[in-house]
Amino acid sequence: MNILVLNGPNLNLLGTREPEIYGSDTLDDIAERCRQRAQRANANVEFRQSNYEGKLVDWIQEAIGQFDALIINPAAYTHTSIALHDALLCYGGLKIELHISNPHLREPFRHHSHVSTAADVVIMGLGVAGYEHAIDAAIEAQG
Amino acid sequence: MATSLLIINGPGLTYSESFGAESFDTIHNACTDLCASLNIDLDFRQSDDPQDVIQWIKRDAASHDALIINQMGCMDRTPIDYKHYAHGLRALQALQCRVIEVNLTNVFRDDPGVFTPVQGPSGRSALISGLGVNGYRLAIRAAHAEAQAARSS
Repeated sequence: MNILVLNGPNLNLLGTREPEIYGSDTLDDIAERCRQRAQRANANVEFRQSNYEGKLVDWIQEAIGQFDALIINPAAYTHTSIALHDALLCYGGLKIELHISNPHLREPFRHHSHVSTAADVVIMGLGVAGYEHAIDAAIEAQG
Repeated sequence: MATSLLIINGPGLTYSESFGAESFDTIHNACTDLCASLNIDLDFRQSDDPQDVIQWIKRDAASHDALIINQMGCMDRTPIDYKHYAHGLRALQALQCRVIEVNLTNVFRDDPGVFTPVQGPSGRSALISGLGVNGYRLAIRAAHAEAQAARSS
């Protein structure tokens, strides 16, 4: 099984950016744990991050037919990007929207997601551990 | 010390329409089996009366490491005043324990504009939507890992 994990804007700063919300782990730490987690089930994880909306769209399009599941933390593009919504609708594999914090408990401008209506699964508020749980969920869903 | 979890299932969850082929017994058994294998103390409940759910939250949740709550099943089939119920669920905000909301389907996609996620305590409220019965398993594993990490720190 091949799983693509995409990360949106500012997540490259994880570990230093508002650690009281997002924790002190870096994105590389998380990527390594996801790979180890997936390896136990003979699954492969490809882990990417971009600050550019169009890059994320390109990667979703490239995932079509190449990856069995897509886990995406769209970060702030969650609340603005119809382009991500449309791209996700074109992807036929399992789509998991993932957030470290719970956007519904934060500012009102974070309460709406354009991504949730195009995703199969939404996971939010489990901290950085949510990444590994999302990997488990993708593997379990494939059964 | 064993992790202690309260799982509350709200109105309408015993209707089979709520989650396709999976029956409520399937959910109950999945939770019971996983908690037994992880040595978790589980208190698993369901009621079709919103007042029971609110009362359980206020009276019983705080004595557990985490509350896992599925606020309701098939909305079309559930004859309750949802706005009134959602208001009552605000009792969750006062809790100090971890709260993880589970929905069998992706409610944001399937019930757009209708559904309000529960508002648990700030920074301690999570949501898992769209994984069917596996969502309960994920919530149990997540809550257990957090409780055990808190005990060892």
